[in-house]
Amino acid sequence: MSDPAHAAGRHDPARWLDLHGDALYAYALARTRNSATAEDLVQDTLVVAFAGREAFKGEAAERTWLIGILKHKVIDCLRRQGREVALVEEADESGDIETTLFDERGHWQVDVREWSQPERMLEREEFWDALRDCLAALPERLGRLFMLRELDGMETDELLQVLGISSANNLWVMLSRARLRLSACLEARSIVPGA
Amino acid sequence: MTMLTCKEATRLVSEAQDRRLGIVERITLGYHLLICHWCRHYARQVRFLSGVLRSKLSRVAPTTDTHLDDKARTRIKERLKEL
Repeated sequence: MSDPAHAAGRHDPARWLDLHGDALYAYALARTRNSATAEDLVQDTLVVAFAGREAFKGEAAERTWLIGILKHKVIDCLRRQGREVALVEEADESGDIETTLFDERGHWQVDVREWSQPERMLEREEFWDALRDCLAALPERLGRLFMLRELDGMETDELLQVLGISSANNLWVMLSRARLRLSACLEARSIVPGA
Repeated sequence: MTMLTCKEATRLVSEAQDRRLGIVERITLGYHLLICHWCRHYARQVRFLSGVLRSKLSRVAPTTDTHLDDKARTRIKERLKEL
């Protein structure tokens, strides 16, 4: 820690980019779902990290420290975008999936199969490919919301704030639609064998 | 006790992942799942997928096969040189 050369090396943002660039980018991409935005966030993170480099004492792993900064950047970014799109909130994602899946009396009009031993699918690469594709196929806002809920385990209050959604009820409707879409997408690909 | 439609039942199945359902909701949903195999299958799918996403997120989050492309890298490096 007292070695100046070592310290200088430790605080080289270009080296951070080489070592952690992909991890930071993947983190930001999973949550913003936009490559240009994710790239900008990586850059901002490294700039901020460099400015605050004295605060990093090395007690946390370097990557963990950088991800911690990135996490705040991502949330700020989503919050800003959330405000921008709050007005068009539900219009773009109106209940089309529900009209596809249910008849006018609210009954299923598609078959919902029982998945047979789905845990076994976890070892199969095609299951993960399908899951990634189906997550990517979610409409932008739904997808973002769903990833923050499931990947980051964000709770209702935080999600409402970050995404600028007007009520908890709307939030739950949106999450429900994301889950219906995800199941329907995996079903359409017949990725899990039926019982 | 009011009967749920499948559409309403799937909504409660989902909400059970996001909030604690009230006692009446739990009873009406439980009854619906008892008599409706489609919704029962759906409920299992939802719980399975949630468990997978929450425990194996590294497999779903684009990590191993996601790379910051070279153009972006170069651009970011240029910016970092200004620091």
